[in-house]
Amino acid sequence: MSDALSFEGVTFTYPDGARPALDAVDLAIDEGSFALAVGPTGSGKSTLLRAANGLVPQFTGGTFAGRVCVDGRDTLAHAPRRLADVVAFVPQDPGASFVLDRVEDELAYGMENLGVDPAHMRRRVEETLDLLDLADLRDRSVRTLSGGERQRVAIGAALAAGPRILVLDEPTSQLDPQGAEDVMAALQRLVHDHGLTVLLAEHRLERVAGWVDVAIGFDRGRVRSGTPADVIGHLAAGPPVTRLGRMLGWDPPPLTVRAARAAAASATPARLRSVAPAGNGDARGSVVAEVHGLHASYGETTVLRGLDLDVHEGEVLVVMGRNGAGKSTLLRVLAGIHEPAAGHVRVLGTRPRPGVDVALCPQEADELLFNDSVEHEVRATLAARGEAGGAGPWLAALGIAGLAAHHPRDLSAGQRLLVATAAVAATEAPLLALDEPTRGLDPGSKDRLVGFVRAHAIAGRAAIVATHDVELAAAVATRVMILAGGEVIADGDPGSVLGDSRVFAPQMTRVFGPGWLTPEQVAEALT
Amino acid sequence: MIDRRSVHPMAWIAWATSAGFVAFLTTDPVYLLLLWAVSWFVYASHRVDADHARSFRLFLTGAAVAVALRTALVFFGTVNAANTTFSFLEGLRLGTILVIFGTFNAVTDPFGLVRMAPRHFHEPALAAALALSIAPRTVAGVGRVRDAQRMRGIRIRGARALPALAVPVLERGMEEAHTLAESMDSRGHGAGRRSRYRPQPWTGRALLIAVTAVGAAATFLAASVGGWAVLHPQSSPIVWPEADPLLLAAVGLLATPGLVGRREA
Amino acid sequence: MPTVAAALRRSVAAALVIVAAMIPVTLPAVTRAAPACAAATGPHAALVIDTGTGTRSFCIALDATTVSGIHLIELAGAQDHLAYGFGSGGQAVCRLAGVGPQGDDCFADYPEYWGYWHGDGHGGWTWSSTGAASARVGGGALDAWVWGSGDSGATHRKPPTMVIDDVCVPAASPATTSSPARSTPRASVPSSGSPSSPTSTAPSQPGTTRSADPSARGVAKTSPPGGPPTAGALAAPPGPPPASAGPGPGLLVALVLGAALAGGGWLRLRSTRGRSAS
Repeated sequence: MSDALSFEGVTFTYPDGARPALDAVDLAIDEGSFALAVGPTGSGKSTLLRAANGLVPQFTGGTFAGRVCVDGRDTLAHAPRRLADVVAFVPQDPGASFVLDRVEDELAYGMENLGVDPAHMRRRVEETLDLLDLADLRDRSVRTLSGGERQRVAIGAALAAGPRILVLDEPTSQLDPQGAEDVMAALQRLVHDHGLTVLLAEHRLERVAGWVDVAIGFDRGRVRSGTPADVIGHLAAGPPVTRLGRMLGWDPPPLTVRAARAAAASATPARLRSVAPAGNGDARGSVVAEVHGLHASYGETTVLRGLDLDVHEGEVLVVMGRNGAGKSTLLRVLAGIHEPAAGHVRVLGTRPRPGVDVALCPQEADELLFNDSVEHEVRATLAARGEAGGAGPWLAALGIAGLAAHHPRDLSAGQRLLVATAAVAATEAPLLALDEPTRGLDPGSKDRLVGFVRAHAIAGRAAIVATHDVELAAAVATRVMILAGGEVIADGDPGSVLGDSRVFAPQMTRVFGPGWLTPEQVAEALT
Repeated sequence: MIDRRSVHPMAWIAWATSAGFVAFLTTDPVYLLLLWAVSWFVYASHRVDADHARSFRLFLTGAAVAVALRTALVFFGTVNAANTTFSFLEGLRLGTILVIFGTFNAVTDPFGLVRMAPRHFHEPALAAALALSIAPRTVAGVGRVRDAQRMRGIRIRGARALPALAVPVLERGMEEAHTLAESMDSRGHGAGRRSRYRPQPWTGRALLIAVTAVGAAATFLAASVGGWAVLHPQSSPIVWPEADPLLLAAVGLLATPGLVGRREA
Repeated sequence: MPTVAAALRRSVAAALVIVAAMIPVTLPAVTRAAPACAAATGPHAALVIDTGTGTRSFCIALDATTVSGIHLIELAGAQDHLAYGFGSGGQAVCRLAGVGPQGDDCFADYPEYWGYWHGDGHGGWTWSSTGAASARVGGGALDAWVWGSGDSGATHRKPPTMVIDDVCVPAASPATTSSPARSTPRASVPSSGSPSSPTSTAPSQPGTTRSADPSARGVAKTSPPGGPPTAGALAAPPGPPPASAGPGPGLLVALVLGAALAGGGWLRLRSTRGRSAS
């Protein structure tokens, strides 16, 4: 099988980079592979993806050595636009990459640039709409779509152009678990049936590890490729089942739920069945926030209907639901930013004052950052409160004390999210809200976030987190609520709510049954 | 699925060029202000429900600013009623052209027009489309950043809080523009081979719009060539501006887009 | 798409385009003004405006024995709707018949400006030695303003050759007196040379100094002698409504039109806003 994509001795440094982003990379990806790029943040994954279609170095500048060949074409000899017929790239932020207004037009855009004849274009667009379940959205303006819908449209737009190689940067970051699975299944079908070569970078390995056949491990600009088991199995951070496998000494550590079940059946003592899982703690203090009969709309659509909810001290309430279920709207209403259409909201007995009673960290951390150092960023919040204190405690709480002097723009997306969270936490608001902290969140940053939220709750404050990341929910929640159709369809302790759900069940639950949420929990029970 | 209901972009180009031409040819406030009303009517009937269309308000503000600034220019010379009126009328003409362009922007899809541009106009057309998309995206960004800062306790009020608003807005804006440019490049924009997915059909409606617009422009051109005094009311001494019925009718022709029906949502 | 419908559409389009193209062709012919003529009773002076693209002549009834060159123009505005604009505090002529700079500086379009000539009574012209404000114009005088460049009479463009009788037609009988508000095309050159302006002090001898055929002077005749009555309406000077003291009817029409458009637009916005997402 020939190489679809090959890297020969590629070393690349960004124009203002201190060290190479890619360091003597030699890599060959066969045609028809489904490849996954894994590694800590800042290790070069995004750079490699962009080198695959020539954006690096032709769009970014910088010093480039070596050769990248895409379907036989040298990326230095061909501008990215001349490679568009063989390689397509889906960026992390799909909303910003849309050119046209209507979904259908956006899907056809790539083909127009390639001079595909209209009849063929019509057929391709229809196929792509079906493949990614976008048929209902064809006439919609892309601005009106939810994050997950946008991501599917972006993938569809790249696929419709009929490339031989598809490169995706965190394609499931905004998709709920079902959506992510649908996308991965569609991609795999294209790989197996049509010989498409796929290269994707993803942090949430539990969503992708079972689908791919090649894994490329990144470490400070250097790569090592091999089978998923080989590469992921040796990573410090991997899917929960892999982490559990390593903790329990299973060899090889499983990558999928299925493999884990097989390993567990033979290796796990029967007593695990009889041990009750220890929860995340269910200390519930007094009520911090309460909501009654809440009706709220987003634009013209009513997203919340008659919602009742209360949050107590010491609680971490995780709100889950499909994309567009109203999670963000709920958080904004609680924060006092969004006026409900009906019903009332009280935080500590009064209408919530944003930044005082409730502090909300937005999905886009960059909307908050405006200072030239991490320390100043946190200090800005303190200054607004009239506090003269230092940022130290907040940075330490989020594990980023070492980044105090760094400029936020120099940090990775996950680190910037931690900085934003620190800046928000410095308000010391009784209720801390986090809105979908998922994009760009690498495993290391996620661990720190989990640690922080848990400590926050233990200290007697309350937190509410909207997310569709099941493993994050499993790690941090003391209570889980699921929204659908604007109403609460489940509310209770994580073990039972997540255990009861097919879609939102964490890997541990799928292997060991309801109540088992994190690998640490299982490992502890078994040792 | 061919969108049979929307107006061919070339018809809009004909409309905007003709209306702009008419505004260029006269300083009579009656015709100019009537053009504002016509533009407003056309905007209301055909504006698209997209981000860039929301900048119509910005164009209106810009037009008002242009009028005010040009009128204020009279202070660089002798100030009397005649000169002030003259300055004001020049400003009004400028403002009218801005309003017309604002309507044009709101009824078309600038990036869609870029696709239609001939090879050599591709780059400037793209630059124009990008420029037109910056304002609404920035406006949307301002709202989001203001909310975000509020939620961590920073209220944007007064000049001291400006960096808290400006830095994220500008950074996000630049990043989004960068992503867009990257995306267009990756998807082969400007590579030379072109085809159209849904070539816009020329409906009778579009034809009517184009023809009446050209007719209006031609009428004004003829009046201008013929030295019709009514195109430029005298300012010394100041008199009530005149309104010739034929020219009024010509301006009325420019309202055709709104009269042949509105944009189906 | 059926080709018949497409072909039909194309031919309709072509027809409409041709019609639209006709408008600019016909309008100029319509707007070329015939010289204003009025029967001469009482002291009259003639005013000729040569914009470079056309000439307009006015027979002005004077309201005093002599008037200034400025006032002659004002009278032309009042009697025959000549559009004018003065500068330098009302002392200089900046703008006539829509040509010339707006504002106070009459030389804003230099090297072009309005050159001032006085008719010498024999069809010739003398470059004015004084400005319009100090020049005196009496009955029978002929003033001309020519738009062009040239710093003196030697270099500036001259008006067409003419005498006052070419502009102010001597009244044959009281019945032919036309009101100053209507201008009729010159039907014919009076064959009888009887001067009927009793107070005319013009040096010209109308009977003897008949100049060359008027049509050679760049003044377009829109209709043959005794043309159809509609010719009169067609030959109405451009920019019909008078520069009167108050707003004219056209203004009212424009107001109503503007209000209708604004209201229509507002209604449309309200109804679509109700339907679509904010």
